[in-house]
Amino acid sequence: MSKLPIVLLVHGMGTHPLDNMTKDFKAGLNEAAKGFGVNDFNIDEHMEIVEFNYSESLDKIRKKLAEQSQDIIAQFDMLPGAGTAVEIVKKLLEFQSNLDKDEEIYTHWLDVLLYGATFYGEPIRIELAKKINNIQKRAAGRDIHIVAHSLGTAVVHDTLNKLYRDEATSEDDIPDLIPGIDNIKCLWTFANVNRLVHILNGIAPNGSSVVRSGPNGCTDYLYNIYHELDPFTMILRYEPTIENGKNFVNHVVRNINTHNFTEYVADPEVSQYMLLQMTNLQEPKSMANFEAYKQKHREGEINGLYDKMKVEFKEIHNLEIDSVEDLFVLIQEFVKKVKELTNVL
Amino acid sequence: MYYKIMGCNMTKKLSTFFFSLLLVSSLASAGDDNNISFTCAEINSAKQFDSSFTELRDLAIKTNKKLCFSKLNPEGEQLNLIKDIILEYSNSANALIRSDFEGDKFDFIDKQFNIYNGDIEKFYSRVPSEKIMYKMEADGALTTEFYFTLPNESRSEVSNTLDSSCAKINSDTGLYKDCKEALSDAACAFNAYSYSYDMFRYEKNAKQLNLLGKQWDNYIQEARAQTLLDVMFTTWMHNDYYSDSKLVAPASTQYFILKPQVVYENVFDAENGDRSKIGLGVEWIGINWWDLKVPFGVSVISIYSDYQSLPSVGHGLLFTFDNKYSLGFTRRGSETGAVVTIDLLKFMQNKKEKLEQYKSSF
Repeated sequence: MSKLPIVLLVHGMGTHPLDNMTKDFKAGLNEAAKGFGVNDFNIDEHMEIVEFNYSESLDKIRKKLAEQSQDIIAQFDMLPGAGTAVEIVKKLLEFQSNLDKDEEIYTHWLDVLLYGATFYGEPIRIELAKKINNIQKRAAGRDIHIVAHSLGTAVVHDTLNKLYRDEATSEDDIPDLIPGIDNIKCLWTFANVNRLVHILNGIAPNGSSVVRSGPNGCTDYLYNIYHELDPFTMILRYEPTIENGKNFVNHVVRNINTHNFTEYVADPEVSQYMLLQMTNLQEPKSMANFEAYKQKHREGEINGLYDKMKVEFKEIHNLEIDSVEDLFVLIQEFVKKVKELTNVL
Repeated sequence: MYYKIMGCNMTKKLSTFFFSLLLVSSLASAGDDNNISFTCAEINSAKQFDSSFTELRDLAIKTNKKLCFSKLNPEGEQLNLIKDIILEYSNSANALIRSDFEGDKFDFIDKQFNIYNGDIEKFYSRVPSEKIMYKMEADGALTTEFYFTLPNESRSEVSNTLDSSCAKINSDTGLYKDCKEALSDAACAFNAYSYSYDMFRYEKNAKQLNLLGKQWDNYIQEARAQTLLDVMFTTWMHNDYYSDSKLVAPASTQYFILKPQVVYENVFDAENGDRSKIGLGVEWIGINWWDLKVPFGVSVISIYSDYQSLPSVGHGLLFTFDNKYSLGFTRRGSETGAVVTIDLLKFMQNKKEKLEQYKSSF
């Protein structure tokens, strides 16, 4: 029987073809392993990677909502001499009737709304809970890691918070796992947006969450990673006090998209901990190897971009997020800034 | 032998499901009562807990069986029995592990076992016994730590300087790179003792989660169509329910707000040629009990239609049946109209066409 750890990946917002996140994760960790001096690194020899893909569920929901609106709009064509009132209603329904289109506004930003502000979040959490429970069932002593990015951090947080219950007992009909007993080994959250999404869904108010490390939480270790210039982590930043684990801050800009998952994983300090927690490799333990990789990683930095971004994103940093509308303003502002900077480069 | 964990009733019908290796359990689905039972049976194989600490693993497997069978005691003494079994196991396991990890430098192992025993001693009968199936762990990123997953966890740091000693542990293999690897292997063997408890809970969870999943599939397929605004309004109305600290099935009510649709209206006492109109209906607010035997809902509706002799806006109530078909009434001035939605109209037309086809076949 395999003793390799099981690594469950949970993607961020947008449409994600199956295995897309696995490729990004492997790319980041491969670069890091090579940087630490492991030249023949084959990730599949060190861990079993599985993915939870909820973008397909969100696509289906968007399609269903779009079809329903399209049906109503089609019925309006039956109205004789349709007047202004009908035209107004049709306009209102057009937004929903376009939800099945592959435009970024629908595939990215609406995901946040659909997951956070509607009950459609619950069946997604149930599917993830099934996956986690099944992994627990077959793990039999193998370590379990959960790696989540962006919106996936909220999906994972909310699921774990509902699945791991202090009141857990096999006497009732509530599916649950026991904090401290059924703990996963490590939870890795990249660009954590829990606090933003919790404005919408109200899960775990006042930080009353079981998603923490140690015997009273659901994970033995919690590693939380954000980039100083990732706009999604600038507002309502998630930076908890961690009992076992660490908050990592990335400052290096090698890619204008500071929200990029591969870049997050390839960070020397993060990947050092990942390789040590997930594999038996000895090379990342060496301080000399760490310094060498850190140096090499920095060589990829885009000259002057860090300073430019810091200035450009200052406004975003000062935005106050109190509502869904504020959240969309933030997202639009970020996209605008990235486009401006891309043109400058 | 069959039983239900935590003293629930025996199930009516049992079917045997073999867990692949360590414990053979039978899971029985007893009609609608959602009970799961399992059987403690002989071990087919111990490969699942692949560890070079074979003696420790065999002891863990034996303990697992004892714990599993201890649940058969119906008189309430099983809780003390469980405590006794675990303490006996702990002492024997400690001795076995120390016979491999010899010398003062490994005293931290005894220290952790003492903390573990202390916690088991504190176990009282009202706590579900699965909550004391603590695991032994040896891990860490840059520094190895050795501990049990107790509520008041205290960890022992395992110095890197011990690594050379650990390479020779368990001399049959002698392949360990460091203490983390050796202690993890021992932990893997040790943790096999709680396998039956864990499997029972995971199987039960799987069944409950599948049920919840089916309820949501049913909701998405069967419940009345909603606009995004309706969905958000329904979520807001059920906010406490959906943000509860457990996974839940869909709420039994749907809400509607400002829902537009096309309706067919007949005002009985209107002038000839001005009785039937297709109009724009807006459900201002409504509720639908989607999962009743006969799903039913009611909404307050206004309908805009271009009548010659009546006010162009009528107000009334719309009743929805079977999550699809709606009919109701409106008042326009002093006149009353009957309203059906286009869905219902289509349904009636299909029935009429079928009736005509049926008649014409004679």
